[in-house]
Parts: sequence; C-alpha cells; structure tokens
Amino acid sequence: MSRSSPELLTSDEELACRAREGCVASFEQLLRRFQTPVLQFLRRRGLTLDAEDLVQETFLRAFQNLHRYDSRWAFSAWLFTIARRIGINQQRRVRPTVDVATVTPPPASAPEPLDTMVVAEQRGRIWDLAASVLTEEQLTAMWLHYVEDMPLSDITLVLGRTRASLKIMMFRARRKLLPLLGEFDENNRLRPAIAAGEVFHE
Amino acid sequence: MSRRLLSKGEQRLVDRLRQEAIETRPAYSESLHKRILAAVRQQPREKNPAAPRRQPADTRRSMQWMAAAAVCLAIVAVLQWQSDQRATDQNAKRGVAIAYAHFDDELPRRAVTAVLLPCTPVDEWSEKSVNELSNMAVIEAIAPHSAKLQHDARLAAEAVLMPLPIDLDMFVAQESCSMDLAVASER
Repeated sequence: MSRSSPELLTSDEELACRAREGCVASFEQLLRRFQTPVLQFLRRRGLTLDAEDLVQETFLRAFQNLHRYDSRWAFSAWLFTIARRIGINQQRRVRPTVDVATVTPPPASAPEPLDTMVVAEQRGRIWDLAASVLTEEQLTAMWLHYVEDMPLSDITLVLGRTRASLKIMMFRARRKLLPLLGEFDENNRLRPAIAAGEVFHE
Repeated sequence: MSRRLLSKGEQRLVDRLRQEAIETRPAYSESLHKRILAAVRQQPREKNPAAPRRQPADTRRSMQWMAAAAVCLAIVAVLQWQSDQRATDQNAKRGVAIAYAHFDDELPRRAVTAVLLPCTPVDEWSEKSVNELSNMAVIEAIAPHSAKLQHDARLAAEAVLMPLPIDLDMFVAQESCSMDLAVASER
C-alpha cells in the first residue's frame, strides 16, 4: 500500500465517523490500523492464548457500538477502552477459583520443551517484570502512554481517572519499575537472582 | 509535557519499555483481519450502525418546529401576564388590604400586633412620610386573592417581628402566673 493513499491520510476519527454512517471500508481501514496494537495490548495482559479471539470480540463490539462513539474522543482511546474491558472480563472468567488447600500438587515432571523455551524467552523482558509489580491500571497507563504514544488526556478517558490521579499513578509506576532496570546486565539479560523468580514489590 | 521532566533513569526506563514493545510487536495477520471482517459483515441488520442515524434535514425541520412552538409559548405567556397585570391594577385602585405589624415600645415581648387596615387606597400610602411608617411593617399589597394572602401576611409579620423573650426570668414568671390563674379558674 503506498504511503500517499488517501485512506492513510484520513484520521482515525474521520474513518470512525464514516464507519458510523455505514461505510464498512472505513471500518476495515481502522481494523487494519489497530489490529496489531490491540493484539499486543491484550497479549501483554497475559491473555496470550485467546488474544486473537479477544481482538475479534473487541472489533465486533466496537462495530456494534459505533453509534455511541463520540468523535470528540480519540478513536484509539475508545477502542482501547473496549479492549481493556474485554480483557478484564476474560481475566475474571479464566481466573481459577479453586481452593488451593484442596488441590494436590501435580507430580514433578520435566517441563515441555516448548514451555521452557517460551518461559526462557519471556524471562528477560521488562514488561513481564512490570506486569508482576504494577497494578492493572498502572500497566495499562504505562503501555498506552509509552508504547502507543497516547496523550494523558486520552488515557484519563480509558481509565476513568482524573489527570492528576493519572500522573500520580504513572509516577508511582515508574518508581516501582526503576529498580528493575538495575537487574538487567549489560546484554539486557536478567541477573540470576531475578531470573530465578524473585518477585519485586515496593 | 511530562516526558521532559523525566530524570535520566526514568528516560532510560521509558526507552527500554518502548524498545522492548517494538521488538515484541506481533506481525500483522491477514487471516485475522479477514476473520474479523467476515464476522463484522455477518452482523445482524438491526445492529448495523448505519440504520438509526438521523438525517440532518430531519434535525433542521424539528428545530424549526421547536422554534415556532417556543415563540407561541412566549406570546401566550406575555398575554397572560398582561391580563394579570390589568387585574392587579384594578384591584389596587379599588383599594387593597394592607397588612402591617405595629411595634409597641412598651411591651417588647408582645409587641407585634398584626392589623389589617380597612381598604386603604394605595395613593394615600405614597403620601405618608417615612416617619409615619417607621413603626409599621407593610407586608404586602394584596391583589386578587386577598383573604388567603392577608392571613399569610399576618403570620409572616408575627414571625418576623416577634422579639425573642430576652428577659427570661420575667417571661417565665409571667407564664407561671398566667398558668396559676388558669388552674385557679378551673378550680
């Protein structure tokens, strides 16, 4: 697709307004733009296995509710709000509710090679560490601001927070994450103590 | 912008977060795109957002109707107000009941006496000097429904002008005396 295509020059909000009027091609364009960011956003929340289904659900729900979309909002903020809610609902659904005391531990066996590889691959990543120390809101705010370049005013809409409280939240998140930087060696690998599974808490 | 205020360490953290996110960004999936698009196209007709949209022409027409209705309401309100005003003027000329409270210096605790003046013409009131009216609280010039309003005005005058019983001992003594008298009369 060439860069000079008029569809690429059209803003997300304009495309959303056209889609609201019934233009499926505009919605398709939005889908093309946001498929990967939404997929990554949902995967980052630990929903790796069913992330694609959740992306589909997100876009379907967005399409169904386009008449509610207010063009004063950034479309990305509106879409990520939907994605976040779907992610939270999914996490509630899959969260185990079994009493831990009644469960017998599984027999010790060698882990599957693929699992080992995935764990090893993920182990050196700061976002995984961040997910273990930050709250859901903090993680969402940090992701949207620093990865998706979403302005704070839009994130306040996604999280339903005031700007001041969002700033405080992000300040605290950065303060929690800063010590983690020191845990990576010069090759961006985790130092052994951290890799062994130490949990970081403030 | 908040990013300018970041310390070196925080900036390093942010760069690291951003870099890692870029490195781990999943590839665009055409199959997922087609799957989602097919699901979108299968949406039921009533859920299609194109249907319930209101046309701009409809909006304009409805606004015209609303403006016309507002003008009619305003005209009716003005006419009603004018007729009320006329009735009020007629009553005032005939002479309206004026409720006032008379303040008696000698009996401050029981100073208020609401007196209804017998139909004094309004013109005479305007000729009275301020000194003449100083002991008098004019509550209201009662227009068409004078009976109810006179009653209300008297109650209001009593409520406003009734002084508090400052000399409590005297007040209590007087009250007990009156009670004794009442008991004695009953006996």
